[in-house]
Amino acid sequence: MLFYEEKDARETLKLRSLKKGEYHQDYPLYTVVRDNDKCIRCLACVRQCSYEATFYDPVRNVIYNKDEACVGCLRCVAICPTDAITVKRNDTKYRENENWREETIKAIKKQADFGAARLTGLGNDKGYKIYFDHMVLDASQVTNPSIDPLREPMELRTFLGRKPDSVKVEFRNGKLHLKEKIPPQLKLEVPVIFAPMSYGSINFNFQAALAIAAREAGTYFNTGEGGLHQKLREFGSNAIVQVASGRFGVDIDYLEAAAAVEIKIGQGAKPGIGGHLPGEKVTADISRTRMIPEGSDAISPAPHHDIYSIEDLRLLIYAIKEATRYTKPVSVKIAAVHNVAAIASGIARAGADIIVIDGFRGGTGAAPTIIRDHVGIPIELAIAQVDQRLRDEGIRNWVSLIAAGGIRSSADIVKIIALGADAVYIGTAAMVAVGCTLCQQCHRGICAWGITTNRPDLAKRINVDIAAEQLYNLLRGWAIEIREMLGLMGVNSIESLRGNRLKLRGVGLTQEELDVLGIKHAGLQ
Amino acid sequence: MKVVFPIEERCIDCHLCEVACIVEHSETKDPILAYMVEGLSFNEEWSAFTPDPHEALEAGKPKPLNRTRVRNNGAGVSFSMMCRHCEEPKCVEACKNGSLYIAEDGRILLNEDKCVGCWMCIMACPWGAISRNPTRGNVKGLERTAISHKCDLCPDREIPACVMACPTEALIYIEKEEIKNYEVRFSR
Amino acid sequence: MRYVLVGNSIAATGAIEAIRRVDKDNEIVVISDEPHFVYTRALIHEYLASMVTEDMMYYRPRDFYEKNGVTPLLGRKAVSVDFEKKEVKLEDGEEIKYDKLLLATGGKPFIPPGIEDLAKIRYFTFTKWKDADELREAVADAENIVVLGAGLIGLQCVDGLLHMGKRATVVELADTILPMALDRKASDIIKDALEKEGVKFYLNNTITKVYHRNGELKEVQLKSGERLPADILVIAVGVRPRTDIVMDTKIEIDRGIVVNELMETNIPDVYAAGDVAQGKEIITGIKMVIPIIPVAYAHGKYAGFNMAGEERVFPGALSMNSLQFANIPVISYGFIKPPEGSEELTYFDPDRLIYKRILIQNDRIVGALFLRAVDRVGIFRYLIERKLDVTSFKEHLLKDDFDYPYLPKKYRLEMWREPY
Repeated sequence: MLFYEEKDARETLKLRSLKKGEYHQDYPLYTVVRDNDKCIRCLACVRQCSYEATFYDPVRNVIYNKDEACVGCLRCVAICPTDAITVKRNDTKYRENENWREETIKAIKKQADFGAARLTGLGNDKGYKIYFDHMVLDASQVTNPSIDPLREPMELRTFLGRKPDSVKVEFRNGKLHLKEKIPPQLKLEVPVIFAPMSYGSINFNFQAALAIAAREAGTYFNTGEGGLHQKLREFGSNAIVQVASGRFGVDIDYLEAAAAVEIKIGQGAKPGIGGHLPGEKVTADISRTRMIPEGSDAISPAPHHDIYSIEDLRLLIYAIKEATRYTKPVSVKIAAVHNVAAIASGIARAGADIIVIDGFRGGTGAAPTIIRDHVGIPIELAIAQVDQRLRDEGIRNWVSLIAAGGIRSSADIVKIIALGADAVYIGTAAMVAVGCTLCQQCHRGICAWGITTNRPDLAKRINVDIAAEQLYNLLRGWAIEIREMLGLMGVNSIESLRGNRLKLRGVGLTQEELDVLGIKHAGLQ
Repeated sequence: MKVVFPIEERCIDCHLCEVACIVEHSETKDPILAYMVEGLSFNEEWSAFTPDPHEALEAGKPKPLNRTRVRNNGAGVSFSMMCRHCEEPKCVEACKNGSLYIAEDGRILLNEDKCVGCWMCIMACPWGAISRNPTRGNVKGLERTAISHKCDLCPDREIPACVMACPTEALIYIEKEEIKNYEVRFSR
Repeated sequence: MRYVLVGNSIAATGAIEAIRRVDKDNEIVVISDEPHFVYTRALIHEYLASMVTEDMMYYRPRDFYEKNGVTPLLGRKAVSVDFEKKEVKLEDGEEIKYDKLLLATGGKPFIPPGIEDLAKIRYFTFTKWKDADELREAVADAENIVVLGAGLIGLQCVDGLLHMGKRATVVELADTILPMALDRKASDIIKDALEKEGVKFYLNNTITKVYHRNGELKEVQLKSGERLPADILVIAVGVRPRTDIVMDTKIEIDRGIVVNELMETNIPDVYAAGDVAQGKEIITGIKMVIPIIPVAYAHGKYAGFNMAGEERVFPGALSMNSLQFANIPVISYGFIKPPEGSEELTYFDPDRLIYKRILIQNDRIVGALFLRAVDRVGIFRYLIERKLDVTSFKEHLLKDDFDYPYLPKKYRLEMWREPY
């Protein structure tokens, strides 16, 4: 906690400086307004602010804010026992300019001061068209009856993995038997998986909560590229483990522990670039889990240096399959980019069982802002194209498709499944469920909500049991909503919705967009 | 018997348990009044020692008193500690004139009319669970004699206020016998 | 089966409460030469100055004897014990049979030899309710009050007198005040504060002779040669175990009645507890008399359990004190004088007038003293009693907010597993 002390007055009450590197040519984005009549000086806000934006001055007995440090995470608002705090957008604005917007000017000023690439967390926040919000669902009326999910069975169970081209059966001893073995499958009770978030980018507590919730809800969580902590190995049957370009934490036990293995090629938030966990964040525990020396930088190269072609990818896929004796599906995760459909086709042919397409609104623990905001394509378009391409090539049944990046609600899930996905990854939504307010400071490692931080005092802000319950509740709520939506469309299983684009109509989309999505405009039969 | 047990792996050092405690034991039971109005009648001299001697001393402003206190080592370890309502309470053994007593339900309570403020209990309690209450002194001619002050497990409530207030459930209300075996499985 | 307790104070109460936790039926007889319901002697100085009411003096609720099935024989002095016949003989000749006997006779004021003519005057001691009543009456129009002894009792008496508007003069043999509870630095701070309130101190000194006129005290002669005018003399140089009723018996007496770790004396079915008993000290393991309330109660409690048949081993007593003089609270534990080979950690802040001193021997804390900053110091009792190695957090010991979180995780876990 930060207290005013005479000798440190210059530090805490620091006057704004125009010095180079001190970044004060700018106005703060937020102002914290405290109702003095309500504030009881319990100092909870001071203790909770991890961005050093809130101070207590015992001399005047007031709490004040250094607004330029405030990131608008609203932790203080949430913790204040008397609701005395409001965080407002600063009324000060640069002169209106449609071309030179505030964020652009601020970015330039900051960069002029620091001379480095700006980093950020979370997903693309720019105002690109959100196709989910331009698609509506069909409903049954009179001629085709809707189904009441409260009375009729409604199947949400989904199997992910390669499906055989045809099913051959034989009678033995009067019973029906499959003639060929079905390749390994992941069984999901809800078509939602927790997205890859590595231990390191998030803390142990949150990952443990994801694991518990996944097990409770009958689905999976993805370890990301940070390895699987020994304490979480018991959740292996609900874990999808990643093999990424850094190969962190990968050994045979890691692969054996998991339900499925995922080769991470790209990430929606930062397609084509690697990752970098600074050495100071590699604590003893993280170093053990990632299997790298304590304090050393954890660098994930941009490409896998052994994968330069589909053939190379095939080698890795089969290396993993061999290692796990063909008992686990292997998934390949790529970012949604322009030629995603062709790449997906190649991946399917390389032997992957699952393809994950990560759209450009997908989150990240840290990425250069400029890349996050300007690279990649929306997931809706990518899934529609990939699904269509795989169907056209007659290999759709070879792989399951997981859509990631920008799934915000159960409606998004229904829409993306109607566009051709089998299931979805949720990352940001999972974080929001446990407190995240999308302040986009994940890269700083001091998340006030205790999610994207490994500082022990902050990580404690996630209570594993509470967080697991919240995550489970979210999945449960979404499952109920999905059942309702299926019912009103007259569909009684999620299988029947997959790729069923007739259930979708576009609103306010151009013909080009409608063609890419493969849907009709609203109003057309 | 049930007591409040802190789980250090979950404590986020927000001190809302202290706020809840103060409010629960205030006259108005309203946080704003409890702090800003009731708090003003405190003895200036003694404010230097409670709830945190040095915080309050610097502040020059008396603050109301909490019966639990978040202890912190400044390096990420914190937990709120209050009376453990021991079966063989050291404070009761040390109390000069029997002001502290074991109630029939097992709680350790203070007879506030009898306490003379000798602080034998503060000396005796290994948990540091008893503090000084400068709002009241029973010894004539000795305004300094603050009486003792300790957790009473909120007699008006089914579950103590601090437990209800803790945002991360770092305080739990649990049978004494279960504490020994209580383990936080996944928090670290 | 009959339990007989000689003495009616803290240790006896501890024994009654412990016996009743095990044995709800058998008779308990309490014998005391004082007529009072069980009261606390630690408050007689405040009672002297009428600062506390009579009600606050009583150690237990007034229905304590009834509720616990105790037969009190109050105002009746026990004069001797016959261990063969298992009888306690009272002054009035009655003989009380016992099956289990607890000697909790406490202490009696020590009157130092070598004060000439002391026998010819009326002097006061200050350990009982009666003493306070008598002293209050006597000092009503006294001008010059001399207190011999600057120990706890002496200074409490002085403190009480101060609140009555009487400024006493203190004569002490040692060169510091409260030598049993304070080190020199703390002693000086308290002494300065008391001097500011008008108390005069003659340290390194004692009274060698008293001058009187017809038995009425006029002056006292100090060792240093000075003569002080005196109307009232209070002798408070300390207490000695009150072992009179078992003098000249086979019971083992060293400084007090020697007890083993079950609080038994060397005589079967005879136990001793409180200020009269010489039991195990926790740091050294040596048997010594520690005349403080928590120890008296603990002695009584363990004796009670063992008398009632539930064997409980007394872990040992820790000497500790909580004092307040002149608005300055002090709490101390364990050793005051640094034992050989010990390390001393001190902290002194003259602005806040906070003084702390910790003695460490063989990586264990053996003594701790806190002046003014007394909140939450109980952890030191824990550290001393559990004999925990403090090396790993030694640098934090003197911090303002030193508390359990500073302990290593292993200790914290043990702390919570502690039965309570």
